[in-house]
Amino acid sequence: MSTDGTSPKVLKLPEVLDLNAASRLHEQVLAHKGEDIDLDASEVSRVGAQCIQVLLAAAKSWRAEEQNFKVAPASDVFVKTLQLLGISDEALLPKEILK
Amino acid sequence: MDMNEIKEIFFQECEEQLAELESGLLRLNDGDTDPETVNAVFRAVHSIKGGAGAFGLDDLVSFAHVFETTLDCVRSNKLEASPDLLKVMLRSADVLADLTAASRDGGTVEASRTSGLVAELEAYAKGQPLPSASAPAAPAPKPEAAPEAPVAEAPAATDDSGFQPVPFSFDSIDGDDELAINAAASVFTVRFKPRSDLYAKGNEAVLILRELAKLGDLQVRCETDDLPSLDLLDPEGAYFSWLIRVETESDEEAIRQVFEFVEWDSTVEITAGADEEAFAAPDAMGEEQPMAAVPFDLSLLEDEPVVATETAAPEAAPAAQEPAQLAPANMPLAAKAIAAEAEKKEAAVPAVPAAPQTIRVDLDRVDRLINLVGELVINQAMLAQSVVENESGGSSAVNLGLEELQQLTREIQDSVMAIRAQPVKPVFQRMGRIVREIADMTGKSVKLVTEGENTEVDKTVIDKIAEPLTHMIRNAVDHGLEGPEKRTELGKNPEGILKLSAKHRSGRIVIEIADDGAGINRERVKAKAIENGLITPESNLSDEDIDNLIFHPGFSTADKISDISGRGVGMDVVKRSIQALGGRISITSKPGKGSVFTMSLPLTLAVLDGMVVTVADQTLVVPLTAIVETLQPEKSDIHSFGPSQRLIAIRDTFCPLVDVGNILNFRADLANPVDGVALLVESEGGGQRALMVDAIQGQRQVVIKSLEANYTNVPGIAAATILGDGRVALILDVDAVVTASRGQPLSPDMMLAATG
Amino acid sequence: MKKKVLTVDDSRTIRNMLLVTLNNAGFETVQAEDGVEGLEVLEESNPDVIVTDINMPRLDGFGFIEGVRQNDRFRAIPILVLTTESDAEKKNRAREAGATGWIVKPFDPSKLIAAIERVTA
Repeated sequence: MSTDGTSPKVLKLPEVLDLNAASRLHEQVLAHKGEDIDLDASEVSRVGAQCIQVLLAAAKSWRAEEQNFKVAPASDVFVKTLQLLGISDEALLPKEILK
Repeated sequence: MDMNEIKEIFFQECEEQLAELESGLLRLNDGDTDPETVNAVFRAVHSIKGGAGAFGLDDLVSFAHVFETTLDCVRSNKLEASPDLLKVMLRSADVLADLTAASRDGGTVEASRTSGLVAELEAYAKGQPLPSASAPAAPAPKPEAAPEAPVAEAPAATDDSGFQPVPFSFDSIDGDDELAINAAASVFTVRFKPRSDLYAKGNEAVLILRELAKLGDLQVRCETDDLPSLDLLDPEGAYFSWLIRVETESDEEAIRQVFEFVEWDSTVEITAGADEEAFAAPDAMGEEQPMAAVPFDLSLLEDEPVVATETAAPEAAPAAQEPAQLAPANMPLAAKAIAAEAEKKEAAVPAVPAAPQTIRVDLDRVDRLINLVGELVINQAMLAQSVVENESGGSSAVNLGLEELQQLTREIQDSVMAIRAQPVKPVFQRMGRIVREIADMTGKSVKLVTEGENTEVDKTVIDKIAEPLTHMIRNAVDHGLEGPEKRTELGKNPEGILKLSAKHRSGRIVIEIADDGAGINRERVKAKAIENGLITPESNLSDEDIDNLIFHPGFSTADKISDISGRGVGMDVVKRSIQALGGRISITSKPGKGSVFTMSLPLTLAVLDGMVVTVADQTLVVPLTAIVETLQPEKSDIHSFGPSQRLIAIRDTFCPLVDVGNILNFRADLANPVDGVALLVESEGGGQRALMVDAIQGQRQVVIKSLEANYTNVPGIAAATILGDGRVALILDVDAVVTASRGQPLSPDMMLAATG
Repeated sequence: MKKKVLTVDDSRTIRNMLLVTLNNAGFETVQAEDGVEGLEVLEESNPDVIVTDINMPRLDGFGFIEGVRQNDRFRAIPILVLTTESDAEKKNRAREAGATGWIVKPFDPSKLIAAIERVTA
């Protein structure tokens, strides 16, 4: 995993992650490639499948490069939407949900 | 707002749509090929059908549906708008209007009319028009095809598009009846793979799954194998697909319903039973994607507008700020968006003029405003008069102010009157139908041409011109125009032309009805008048005098009383009702070429130009339009005959004197004509009378106050007004007074009171 | 916060029915009389969902839907089409133009509300 000492960048996710937000989210995440990143999903009140596609692709990509990528904290809506969609990637969900 | 109010709105809207429908069809009939005209006609019928369906007005829906189907064929160029088809459509428009009226006011429309047209319309829609069963000669439309198509069945049979009127009720909002209770829960396996179009059209896989979760317990597995690496990923692409196990008490159809909006933009497979193998397959699953059961609380994703208001409020509140926060970072994008938007708008709406801004106002409010402005005018006049009386010299500042006030008051009055002014168009449009009906009944072929239909006139006048106009139109088609054979013989176009026009002329509205028929048969008119004792055989009358004989009471040149214009309504009644509005009517005619009826009416019934006169110490107002001239009688001009009858010699004719004060019972004895003034007025039948009054005070515009509304109907008096000095003056009903002078007592029936 | 619905329909009758139905169900409602006005009102009101008629003067429902979908700000808004026709042709055209779903007119209030809820988050 990543080197200790440097605190990861925090990317605050907007409240609405719908079709219109997907491209921007993609750009923002790509811009942080190569560095540890925390996504703050605490304000998210709506999230669509396409933004989750972006986040999951990012999680896989970070994992492949052995960089730190995690979503925390996350709003209830964010967590429940992932569960509804049957997504259980540990990078996207808080650990207590995954048990 | 409740259902009754909406229904009211619906019927109002129907009126507008029906007018739109008729004028559109007439434009098509005149060769208009603008596709927007066909569209507008289609929309009118479509809109009536839509509203009627909501109120469960099945007869209206069925007929409108058939009509609409045929119109749709025209709209899509599958069917040509031939003159024959347009005739059928115009008659259909009339029936649609009748069905609407029947739905509103109760009553029924003759089934044979509907069924006949339904058969004709359907035949056109199928491309096999029936042989023109409804030639103008056929009296009442009783198509031969009718027996095979009883009306009760015909509309039902045609309703094959699946259009089902659903009576509208607000009570059923919370009906959750689609969740049929099937005691036994069953398991289904659903495979769902969206395409990117699904998202592009505003659908969302999350919402589909949420909807599915409402049916029962889900186990969801997301297939993520197609997800590319982040840099290759199209953020708006569709990579996820789902394998879902649904345990539900609902049936397969209920599951299919969930995918109703997205089945075109995704692959959906629903199979009964659990596909344990697919769920178990470790390969497809991948180690990081274990099957997730979703029996969790969906409350946050639940969507119940009323309840969600509370729960979602704290989270949703900042939403409004969100775009603002994003905007600065995204400036170029935003600018692009605005530019694209502007561009698109221009492209999407080329050369469509903005609709003029209008508001709907309750007529009562406008009437009240007009009434108040009337009071203001009176008050201003009173103020002016008292200033004149109290300040003989008059301060110039006060006088100047008064003048400005007067100017402003007039402008306010004009502007307020303009609010209530309406184009004569709706009345003219109604005439189209009258013409078609009469033409059908008489077997004549008539084309109605209208002109100046946007000419505006006060609503109070509009409401009253329809009736005299109807009689005149009937008369023109029935008596004026010749039948097609006759016209052909005469070398005329077999189709007669009736021209209805309106225009403003010197502060009045002038309406003309011109036909290109035979014109007045003066020989016959004269013979009839002699026969009826209206004139003597020796009378030497000008052509114009003869033409105007048709306005005499009880005069009818038709040899036998026809069904159309012979219902005891002659041109004399028409003339009387027009005069009651302060109007005049005249005729000019050219033998073989046709006749022109011209009526001129005041633009409003709220104000009136009057001559203020004194009769037995009372102040009266005589409508200026009734007065031909005023004269000072000389003793030598007055000739008495009988106990109380007197005549006055005017140039070389004699005219009966009418003692107004005596007739209105202002005084018991007769006035001495030499002491007073004679007002020569034209009364019904075209005859002249000299009204005796004591003195003339002057001319002025007065605001009409209805006596009926404020007091009660008074024989001989049309209305009242308030003069500048605050006195109430009565407005004379000239016709009633003249009639009374012939020995008939004044009776309330005679009253033709003006309303204000 | 109430969900905001933009309705676009040239019929006063239908507009009033939509208004009463939506208000009773707790929605905030903004209305337009044709596609052109719909695009204007859209800019000011930023609705959560749109319900539109097809046959309208100036700009019909198909044109209106295309207009919304080409707008970078509003293209993600779900759009439900009101249609009297249950035949496939109308629905297909609406779908091609970018409609999210449809409601058959005359609409049953509970079905209208259900359809709106189905397409809104």
